[in-house]
Amino acid sequence: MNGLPTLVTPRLLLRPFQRRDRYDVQRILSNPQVNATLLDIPVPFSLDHAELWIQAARDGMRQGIVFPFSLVLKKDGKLLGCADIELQADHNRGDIAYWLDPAYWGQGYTSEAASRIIDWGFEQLELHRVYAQCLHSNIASAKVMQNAGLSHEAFQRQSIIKDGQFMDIDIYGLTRDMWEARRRKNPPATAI
Amino acid sequence: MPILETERLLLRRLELSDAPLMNDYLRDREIAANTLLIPYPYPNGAAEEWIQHAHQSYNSGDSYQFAIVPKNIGQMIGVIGLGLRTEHRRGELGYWIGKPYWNHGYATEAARRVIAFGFEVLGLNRIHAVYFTRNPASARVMQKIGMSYEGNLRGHYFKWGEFLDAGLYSILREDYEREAAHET
Repeated sequence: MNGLPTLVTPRLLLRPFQRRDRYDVQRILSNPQVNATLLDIPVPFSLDHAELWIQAARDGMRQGIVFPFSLVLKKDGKLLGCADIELQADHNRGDIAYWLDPAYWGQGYTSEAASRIIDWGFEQLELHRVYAQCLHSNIASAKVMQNAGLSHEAFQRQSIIKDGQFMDIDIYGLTRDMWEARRRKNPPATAI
Repeated sequence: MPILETERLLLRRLELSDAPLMNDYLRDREIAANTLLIPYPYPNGAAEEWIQHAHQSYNSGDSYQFAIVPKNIGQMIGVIGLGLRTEHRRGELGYWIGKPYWNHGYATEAARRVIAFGFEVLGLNRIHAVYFTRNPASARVMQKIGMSYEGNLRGHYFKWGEFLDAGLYSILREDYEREAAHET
């Protein structure tokens, strides 16, 4: 792949993270409401953490292992969050994940971004399957998955420990067949 | 590494001297077909390498792999293992049995013992297992040892040119303790 990809949705630009995003990344990932939905984000999350995080995001994209896109609002250039797809090449599948500034929750931005990167994964990475995991308690995240066409596949009881508590996990998935059928029913809008 | 005992079985550390038998059993295409990582045809030297890897993985605290040895046979007929994610207090159970010894309940007997070991000695909270849904015999073992079905991951694994569905089962410490209280 030449250079790092940038994708477009009606309201968002999905572009690679840049070093200058570190203030936004630090602010959003240190928000307890965001941390509560994620694994492996240190508390406190410093500006140094943010720089390292962005460096890893860029390296992962360059190496073609994981593609973290920043969600940037077209109308004012604000960075709202992240949607990423991790390529698990042995099994030709992608693992998607996302986080969003709570100030923008409930407006469909994550669903808009997730749908776009899923299409991109099936089209450009030629995936056979896309899946995602969320905490069972995170109803908003499950809703994003459903909006993006994934359906519920498994409920894993007490699968992880977070902040000293056992937490249940849900797994949602979408196979290429299902994605293609969905596409035939709802063809994409004219390419931008 | 401990030796675990059941009515008919000893579960003990794998030794390099088990490699020739392991080679024989794993030459069977059906075993390779029903496991994620066993190659087919099984290459020379792979058993020795795998046994050494099992020792390393035990030393680093990542997994326990036991040779399944029926007392009346005196040699290994299969392998059962527990891969650990200690930060989440969970383990993943995996097993295979050499084809001549299928349908004797050996996998179930071994799995029961390893689960007890996982909860009682290793202090795990959850043990899960994954199987290819085209191999329902493996799911029956999971059911018999008290695991519950958690779902099906569609086309999750790519093996030999095919995308395979994976079924998930698990047992929690609380299920295990309830079951144990019932039996006494």
